[in-house]
Amino acid sequence: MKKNIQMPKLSEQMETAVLAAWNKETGDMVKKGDVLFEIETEKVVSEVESMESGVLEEIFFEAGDEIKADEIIAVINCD
Amino acid sequence: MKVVDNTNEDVYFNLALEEYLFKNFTESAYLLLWRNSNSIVLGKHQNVFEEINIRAIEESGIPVVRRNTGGGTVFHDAQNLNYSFITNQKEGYADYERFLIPVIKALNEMGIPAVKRRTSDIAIGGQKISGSAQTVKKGRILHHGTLLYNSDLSLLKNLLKTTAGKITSKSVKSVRSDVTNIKKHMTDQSMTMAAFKDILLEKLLPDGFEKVSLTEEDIQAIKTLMVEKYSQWEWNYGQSPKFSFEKDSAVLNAKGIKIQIDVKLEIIKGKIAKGEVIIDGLENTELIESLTGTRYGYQEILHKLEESQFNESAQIKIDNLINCFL
Repeated sequence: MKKNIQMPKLSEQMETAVLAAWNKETGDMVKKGDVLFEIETEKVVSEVESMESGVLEEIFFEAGDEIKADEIIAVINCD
Repeated sequence: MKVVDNTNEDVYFNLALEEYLFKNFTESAYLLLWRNSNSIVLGKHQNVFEEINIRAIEESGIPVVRRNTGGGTVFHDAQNLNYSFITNQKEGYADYERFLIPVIKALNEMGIPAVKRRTSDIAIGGQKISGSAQTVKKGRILHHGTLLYNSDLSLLKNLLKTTAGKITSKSVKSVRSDVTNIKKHMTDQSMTMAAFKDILLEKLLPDGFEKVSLTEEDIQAIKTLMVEKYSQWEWNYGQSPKFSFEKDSAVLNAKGIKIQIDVKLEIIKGKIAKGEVIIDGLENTELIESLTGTRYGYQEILHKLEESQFNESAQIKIDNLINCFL
């Protein structure tokens, strides 16, 4: 089954955030709890852990992109 | 609040210590006051090559180190006092006031007219004395900041980026600020850094605190992190987001003839991944091939250019040639 990964909304006020770095690449095995990507906004770095285990199948944004909260940024294939 | 005792002024050790405390000291709230000797500290997601003058840095020997929090590049010396709070953060995001207000209150009690400025700065009369940044993970937060007590910022001037080339990337950029030293604004001009640190600690934690000393085991683990991460080129330089570099230069050769050298480079993980060198309109594949895979740095590029002997065949001074690439 494929699961969409969304840009998390880290606070009520947050409308967008910068996806500062990917810690995994397309094709990588991802385990639940692994750091998938990092967000940086207002000089705060947040490591975002994967909620799923599977293969990181697709990535729709690259490091440095400013992305709206809840936008789909990647797909993990959990099969 | 527990206070961790640390008098080490090695920037590599101190950043490793901070990460170690953040990841392992998870059962309480901690405050750390610390100083670094001359060094440049980058934000986690910055492109080092966009921030510093790489040749001047290599020649100065001043360490350049990437930290674990966001934001821009800061110069540190032993007259700058850093503070770090490591504690729980259940809710809220980018909540700087929680930490800045107690620091400002402590400074005010010492007679320093400090006020909050923008989201994460402290200023006196519109000039910055303190910047701060954070990292959050699993309900814990590391908030740290600088306090310019009596820093010599003149050193910094030659070390910041000054290329005439064009660098394009999506990295986090630094915002330059007009700064001032705290000491200049104090009535007691004789107060030393050591006294400033002690009084600040008293004012921040008026109800007293528990002092925590690191065990031998802690220190060994911190030293391992320092050696394997913070003192490594791969972390400090190689973690830079990918970028492109473009520079068109006109160089005079020994006969006084102008040679046009146009350089385009793609730098990934700090190394030259591909590019082109065009000399008087003609592509020179030999030069770019010799540079591919090289770390983007003054000494490394210099070495490759000397090996190519292009400077000799074209009768160009090596200094003029390398300037086309930096």
